[in-house]
Amino acid sequence: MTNQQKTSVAEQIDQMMQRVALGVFLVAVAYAISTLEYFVSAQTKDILDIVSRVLGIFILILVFPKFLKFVILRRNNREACREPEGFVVEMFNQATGKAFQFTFIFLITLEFVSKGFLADLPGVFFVKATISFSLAFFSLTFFYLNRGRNDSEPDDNFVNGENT
Amino acid sequence: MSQNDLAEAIGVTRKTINTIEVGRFVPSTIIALKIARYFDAPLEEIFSLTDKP
Repeated sequence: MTNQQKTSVAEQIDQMMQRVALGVFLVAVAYAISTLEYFVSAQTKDILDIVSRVLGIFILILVFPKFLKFVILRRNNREACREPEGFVVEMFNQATGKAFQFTFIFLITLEFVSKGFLADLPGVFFVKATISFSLAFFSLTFFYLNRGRNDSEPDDNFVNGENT
Repeated sequence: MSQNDLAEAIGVTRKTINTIEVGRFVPSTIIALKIARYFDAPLEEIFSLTDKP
């Protein structure tokens, strides 16, 4: 296997991670919409249902082809997929850890809030709210950590560690 | 040489090399060793600890 192929595998893995994060964000939006359904009229609820379904289909179209491509890539390039984890994978892992921490804080906050003005709402509302928060926090943290130049932008040439 | 050349050589993306270069990303031991091997230089010649102020 050539080095060129290895790099393209690394880039494809990064692209897959970015696509997954985008998909996760949209899932968070879908959950947020379903939590809103508890506060709106029946007519608006129907509209939100349709929006949720359209969003679900969009998520499938967005993420599934990339995921399938990744599975095939991994099967055909096992060696290249074992290469060390780069920046995007590390940011993905960091975002996961931060999302877990803040979800815990969110749950504690929700416990206090649920005793007050949200006491009438069913348990499923809180589950949906927590999932929405957790997924949104993860994806937004990932986008923030992963901000900056993309690989498609012009290259910096450097010799012996110094930019030219 | 370019960041792309180094990235290709060690099997990571150019973004990984770029973020290491600007000090935004601390590479794993494996990446650090691969970079050192690529430049045929000791690890401490490429990476070093910064003194605390």
